[in-house]
Amino acid sequence: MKKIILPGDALPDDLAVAHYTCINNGSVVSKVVGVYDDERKEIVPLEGAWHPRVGSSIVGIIASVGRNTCSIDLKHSSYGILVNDKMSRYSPKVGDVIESVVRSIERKNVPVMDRARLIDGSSWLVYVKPSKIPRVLGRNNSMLKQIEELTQTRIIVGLNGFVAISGKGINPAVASIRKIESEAHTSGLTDKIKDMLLSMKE
Amino acid sequence: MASKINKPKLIHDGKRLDGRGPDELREIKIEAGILKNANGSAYLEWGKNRIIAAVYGPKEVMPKHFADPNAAIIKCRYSMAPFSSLEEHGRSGQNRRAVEISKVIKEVFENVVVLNEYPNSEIDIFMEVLQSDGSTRAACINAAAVALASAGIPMKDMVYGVSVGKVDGEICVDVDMLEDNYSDADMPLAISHRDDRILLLQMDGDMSNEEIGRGFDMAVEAGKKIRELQREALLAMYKGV
Repeated sequence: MKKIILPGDALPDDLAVAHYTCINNGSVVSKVVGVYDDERKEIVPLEGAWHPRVGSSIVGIIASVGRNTCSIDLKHSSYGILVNDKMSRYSPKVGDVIESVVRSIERKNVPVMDRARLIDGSSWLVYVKPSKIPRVLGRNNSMLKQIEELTQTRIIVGLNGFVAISGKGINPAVASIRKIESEAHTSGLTDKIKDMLLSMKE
Repeated sequence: MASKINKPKLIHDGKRLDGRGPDELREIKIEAGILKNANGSAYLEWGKNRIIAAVYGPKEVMPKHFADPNAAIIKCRYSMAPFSSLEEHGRSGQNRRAVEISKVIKEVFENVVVLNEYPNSEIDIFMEVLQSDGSTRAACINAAAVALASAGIPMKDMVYGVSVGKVDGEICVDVDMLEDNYSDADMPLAISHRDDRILLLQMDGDMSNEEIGRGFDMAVEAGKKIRELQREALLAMYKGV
């Protein structure tokens, strides 16, 4: 069964090693507002900032360009670092929107990327709370594929919260992403979004 | 503190001027997530107090030399609106009282927020008192705790604030402005939800050891209601799970 948990709520002891928990006075407690599923023994946070991890795909905006590195605005507590790829034809410019993958994390929690791909300038960039991004993707990217299919768009999702949308039906795609963001904690969202997009088509 | 010469009688037949018993709180209403542009926010009505709290972050530390490479830092700003009270407040920015309250509230949250998860970053807590009627620092702590949780800032525990005072020689919980002005003592407290840890204890005036102990027990008892209201406010954000 799923239930909402708040910071300080007691959890079973076997969740001691899970993310979003800590030990307070000898018992395992939640650190965040989230949904606890006692069958799958997992916590899904409902709010919170992005934690960079190696392998996370990101979408960011180039904030400054140096000789060997660029600073990337990821809407994170620190700028990301993009190491310039000498082999690439792409030369970064301030304001470019790029997609990349986190290769390593520096000591001060700074994500480092080494290869970037420029996102087309005609794309729309929207920001979604990073805690809602897993719902935008859906299980095995099912939600994302559904939106892309029904709106004839291409959507690039950065786990840091930026989502770049290009293609024909940008407006319905943005509307569906906003709906997912506001109702991320509810179940049956894939069907709701499908109904919404089909009704918008008519 | 107001003059004792014209001090009104604050307790008649065991009841306070607003009809409450010594262990009763004023009416409280908390709403979470009211500001779109903040990461977390809360609005609190506590008697005639009206408070908005907003949380931003974790974000880049400014100025950069304040940054701690091992943990996040908390910045707190308690501020009274110029129209918040009968007297003048906040017309020329922060005063000594606001700086002191900001500092003690910051220290309350440094004890519960898991700061080492966000090295080199800062978490900003803003508390604006729109209307004041006594015990505003306790009220701000309640609003800020809800705002922090709604921002998804990792916390070991939730916190509530409540004040205790000695009014006409009797220990009362949740003192309002008039009681505060003419009380023999007042003691704001911040207490953690799970284990009743005291995170803030200040006192103005004189109380005996026995009276402080009794006041603390009354604060914990009254805190059960505040705890529930804080929980309800946060859960109301996510109806329909």
